[in-house]
Amino acid sequence: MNGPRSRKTGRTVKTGLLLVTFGFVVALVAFALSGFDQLGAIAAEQEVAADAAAASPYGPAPKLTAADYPSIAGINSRVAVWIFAQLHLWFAAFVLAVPIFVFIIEAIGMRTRDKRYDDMAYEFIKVSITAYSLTAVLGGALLFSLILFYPHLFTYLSTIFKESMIYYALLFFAESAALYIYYYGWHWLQGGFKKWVHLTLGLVLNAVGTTLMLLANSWLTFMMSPAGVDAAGVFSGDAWAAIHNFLWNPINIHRFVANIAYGGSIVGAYAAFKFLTATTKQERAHYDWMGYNANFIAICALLPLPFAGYYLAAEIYAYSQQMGITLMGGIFAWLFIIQAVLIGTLFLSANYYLWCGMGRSDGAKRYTKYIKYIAIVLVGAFLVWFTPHTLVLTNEELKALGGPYHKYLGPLGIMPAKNTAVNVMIIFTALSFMFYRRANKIATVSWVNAGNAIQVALYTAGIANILFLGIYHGYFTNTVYKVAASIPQVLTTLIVIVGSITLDSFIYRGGKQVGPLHWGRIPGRAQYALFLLAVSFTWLMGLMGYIRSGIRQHWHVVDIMRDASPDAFTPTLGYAANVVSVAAIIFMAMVIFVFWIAQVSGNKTLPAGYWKE
Amino acid sequence: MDIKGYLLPFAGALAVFLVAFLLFDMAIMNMQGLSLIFYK
Repeated sequence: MNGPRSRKTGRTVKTGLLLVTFGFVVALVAFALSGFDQLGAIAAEQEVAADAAAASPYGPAPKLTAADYPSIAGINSRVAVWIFAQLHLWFAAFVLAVPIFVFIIEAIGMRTRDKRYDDMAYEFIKVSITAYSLTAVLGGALLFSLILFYPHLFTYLSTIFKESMIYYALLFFAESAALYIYYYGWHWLQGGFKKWVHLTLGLVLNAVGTTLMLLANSWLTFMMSPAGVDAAGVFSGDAWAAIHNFLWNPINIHRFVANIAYGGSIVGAYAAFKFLTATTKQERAHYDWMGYNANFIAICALLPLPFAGYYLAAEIYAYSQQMGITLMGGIFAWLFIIQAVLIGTLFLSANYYLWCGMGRSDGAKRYTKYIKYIAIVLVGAFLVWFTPHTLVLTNEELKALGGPYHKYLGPLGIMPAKNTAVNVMIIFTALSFMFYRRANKIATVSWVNAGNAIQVALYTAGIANILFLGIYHGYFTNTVYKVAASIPQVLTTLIVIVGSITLDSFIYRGGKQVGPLHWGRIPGRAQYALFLLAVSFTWLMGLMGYIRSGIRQHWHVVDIMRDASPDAFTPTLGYAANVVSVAAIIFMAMVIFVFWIAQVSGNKTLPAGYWKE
Repeated sequence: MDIKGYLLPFAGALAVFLVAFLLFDMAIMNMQGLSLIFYK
C-alpha cells in the first residue's frame, strides 16, 4: 500500500542527497579555484588597503616590549596558550566532524529504511555531546589565556575581526540550539515528515558548525598571511579582505577533510572500546559493525588528505618562499620525518584493520594470499617516505659518509620520492579495500576473467605512470617540472581508484554472496589498530599544528606585529614534541572520560528498600 | 594460464591504459606550460 509513496520518498531522499553532495563539491571547488588566483587579488587588496590606510581610523599594529606581556603566577604564557589551543582544536575537530557523517548515516538509514543506521548515527552523536561541552570549556580557557597573557595581540586582532567575533558568538548559540534539538529530539522526530525535519536540523547543525570553523580559520590564517592591512598593520576597514586572506581557503579545505578523518578515528576508538568491553555476542557484533563504519569514514577522508596537505604547503610556498623553506627545508623539516612515520602508521593500521576484518567473511581466504604483497609494498613506501634528506651526524660520521647525503638513500629524501611513495601507498590501501569488498562476493558475469584482467592492467599502468612521473621528473629535470609532475601523479591515483571501483561494481553486479557476514568475528588486536589510528591522528595534528603556527617564528602577525615576549624563539624539536605529547595525553584522558560518561549513562541501579514504596 | 580469457585482455588493456595515461600526462603538463618529455 505504501509502495508508490515510499518510492516517491526514496526519490526525494536521493535528490536531496545528491543536492547536498553537489553543494559540498561546488563549495570545495569554489574554495580551491578562488585559492589559485589569490596572488593577484591579494596584491590588489594590499593596494586598496594602502589607499584606505591614509584615512583609516585604525592605528598601526602595536610595537611591543617584553614588559607588555603580563607574567601571572609563574605560568609559561606560550605553553598555556599552546596547550589550551591544541586541546580546543582537537575537540572542535571532533565535534565538527561527527555531525557531518551522522547526517550522512542518518540519510542512508532513511533511504534504506534500515534502523541499524539510525541507531548507529544516534550513538555517534551521543558520544559527541559531552565532547561538545568540553570544546566550549576549552574554548573559554583559550580565550581567557589569550586575554590574560597576550592582551595587546588580542586587542589588535579583535579590532580587525570584531564583527566576525560577534557573529561567531551568535553562531555558537545557533549551533548549541541545533545540536541539542537534534540530539534530544532524535526519538521524538521519527518517521515521515518529522524525520525530514530532523534531517534538516542536522543540515543546519553542519552548516553552522562549518561556518564557525571558517571564521576561526580566518583569524589564524590572518596571523600567517595578513590581508586588509598596510605594511604597518593599519586596518583598511575591509573585514572581508582580512578574512579572505591568502591561506584561508587552503586551510579550510585541509581542515574540513582532516576533521572528517579525525572524527572517524575517534568514534572508531569508541567502537573498539565498546567491543572490547562487550559481554554479549550481539553487542560485539554491533560494535564491530560500528567500528568498521567508523574506519571506513576515516579511510575515505584519509585518502585525499595528503593531497589537501600538499596543496596547503604549495600555497604557503607561493605566499612566502621564506616561510615555505622554514617549513620544509629548515628547522621544522625534521618534524616532517615524524609526520611521515605517523602517517605511515595511519595507513598501516587502517590496512591491518581491513585485513583482520576480512575474517568476517568465509570467502576471504581467496584473497588472503595477496595481503603479504600489499604489506611489503606499504612497508617499502613507508620506508621511502620517512627517509630524511640530510642526516644528523657527528663530524666523524660526516667524514666516513663523505658528506651529509647518503650515497644510495640520499635521493629518496627529496619530495618526488615522497610523492611517489604516498601515491603508491594510497593505491594499495584502495586495493586492500577492494579485496575487503570482494571477500564475501562471487561474480556471476560471463566476462569476469577479462574484467579482472582489465582491472589488473589499470593498476599496473597507473603505478607505472606514477613511477615514471616521479623518477623522470624527480631526478632528471628541474624543480618546476618536479612540482608540476605531482599533479598528474595525484590525478593518476584518483583515476585508478575511481576506475577500479566502477569496474568492480560492474563485475559484481547481480553477483552472489558467499554467506552471511559474521559481524563480531574479528580478533581483539584489530581493535587496538583502531586505537592506534586515533592516537596517531591526535599526535599528528598536534605536531603539524605546531609547525603551521611555528613558521611565523618571531612574529605574532607575520611581517606586521612582532612577538617581543620572552618566548619569542623557536624551541628545540624535542621540547616542542614533549609539549604536544603531554597535550595529547591530556586529550586522550579526556576522551576516555567522554567514553566512560557515554557508558555510565546507560547504567541503572535499583537500590532495594531505598525509596518509599 | 588462460591466454584468450585473461592474458590478451590484460595486454590489450595495459597498452590502452599506458597510452591513455601518457596522453593525459602530456595534457596536464601542457596546461602548466611545460612539456612532458622535453624540458628547458
